[in-house]
Amino acid sequence: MKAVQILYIILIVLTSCTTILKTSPTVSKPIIVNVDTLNPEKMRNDTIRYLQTEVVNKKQKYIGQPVELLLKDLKYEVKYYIVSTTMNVDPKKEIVRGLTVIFHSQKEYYQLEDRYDDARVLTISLKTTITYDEVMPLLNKYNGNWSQEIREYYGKQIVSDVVVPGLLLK
Amino acid sequence: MKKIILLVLIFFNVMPNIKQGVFSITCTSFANAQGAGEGYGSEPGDLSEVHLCSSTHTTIEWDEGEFHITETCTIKNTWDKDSKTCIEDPEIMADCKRVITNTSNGSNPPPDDGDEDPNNGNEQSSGNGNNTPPPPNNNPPPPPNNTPNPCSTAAKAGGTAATSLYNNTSLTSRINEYKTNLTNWGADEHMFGIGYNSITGAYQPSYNNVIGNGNSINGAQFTFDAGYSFYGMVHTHPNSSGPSATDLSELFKSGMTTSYTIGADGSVYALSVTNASLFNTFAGNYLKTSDIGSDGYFSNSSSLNFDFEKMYKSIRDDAGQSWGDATAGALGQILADKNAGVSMYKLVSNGTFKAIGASETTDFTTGKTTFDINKCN
Repeated sequence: MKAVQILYIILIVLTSCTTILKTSPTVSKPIIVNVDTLNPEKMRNDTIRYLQTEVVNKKQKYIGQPVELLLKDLKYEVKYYIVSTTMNVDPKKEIVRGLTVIFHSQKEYYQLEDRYDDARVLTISLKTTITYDEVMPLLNKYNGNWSQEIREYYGKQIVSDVVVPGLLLK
Repeated sequence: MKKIILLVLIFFNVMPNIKQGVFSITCTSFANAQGAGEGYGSEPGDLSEVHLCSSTHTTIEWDEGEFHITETCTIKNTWDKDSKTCIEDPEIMADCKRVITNTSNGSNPPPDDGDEDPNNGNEQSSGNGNNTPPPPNNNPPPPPNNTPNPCSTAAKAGGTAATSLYNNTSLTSRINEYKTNLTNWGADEHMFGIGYNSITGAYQPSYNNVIGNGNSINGAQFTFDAGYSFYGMVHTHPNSSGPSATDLSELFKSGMTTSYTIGADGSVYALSVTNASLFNTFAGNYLKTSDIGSDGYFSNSSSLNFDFEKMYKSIRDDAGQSWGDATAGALGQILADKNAGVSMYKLVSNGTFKAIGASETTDFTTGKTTFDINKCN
């Protein structure tokens, strides 16, 4: 009797699945696995190690040079960035002191469990004096995302320092 | 029909978190068989391609721990001529937004005592009333950050303590004096200490004031009666900013419990320690000398800096909040995210201090994430 009941339940489930398959217009798609998600901690540590040894430890090469020189050397693609400024109640008086380039998309970045310390980022301090008011239109134009136009704009600015912020390798 | 909904939800592994599902569907395909789409909310007889391939709008709400999440999405369909079906392409998304709020946030129906109760029955359906299944969600909502809530029980307790201290009658006249004279004092910060007598339980304002040079008041010394120890301080922010990273650092170094800032615009914020052990760990990691910039906030070498910059600018520029709320909200959210053992508060109109942080909204279409101040109930 019990076996019959189990068979009956299985039959109902299979019937339901068939119903969905028949009525759903969705076409199955292959699952795309993002390699970054396979071992995010290793990925992060590899990136930070690379940034520390190949960029920060060799920062004399970049200080006093256009940002583009540094960007050209990076082996990871910049996808998102955040502008740092001096603090002022009037945003027009804020001076850009650097930009943090982020190797995650904006969406990925805000889904990190601890974005402060798990993100793969590099902070570039600028020697050039530019106001936040000046860079805001470009920031808004691409919703904060990185683009070729933004690369060209910041690429002309002069580097004063390069750091991997925060806690380094875990 | 319930059976189908259940299976779809289980398939996408969102069932355990779903609080409420509201699905408003304007179209799916009925091209293969008349009536095959029964229950999908469209007329089976209407087979015009335009109608069949109109967009599909969904709203899903669920709770994830202390967070309430609402995701709305429009999935654009494409017409497949060969199969004569409407294909929902998850790659073609439009107007997708995800809003994360704390369950005790003012934007949600709050219980009277501010305690979270996600099942309080206040949910309102925003759909078309059809109890229809959702379209297959090939882009299930990602898990929210596993970050502590700025409106946690510990944070609320800290707010109660900050309110009680601020309203202590021994401090009232001194606080009023600061509020009255602040705008005449120019750009220099003024400060007085709060002493506490652990035997009598009494508080006392320091006899002296300390006047800073610009925004620097490091190394302040206060005078109290015998038996009183340094417990807290009140200082002015002539530019009406919220408490800074330097204020946070001073709170740690001095061993104070609570630090208030009074702005020229009348705003009052407080930093209050809720767990000394956690605060000690946080300060060791994030309040080193190299982490604090010359402007009193985080330096470029701090891992808290770029996110603080993003949050306060967004609260100010995208949400249009005051600079004080922007800076305090951003710092408050970081303290909650890092479980720092110290919380940020703002004095609200009823005379109490409410914990504050930042709420996050992600627009999946543009990829832009914005923030607004989150005032806890």
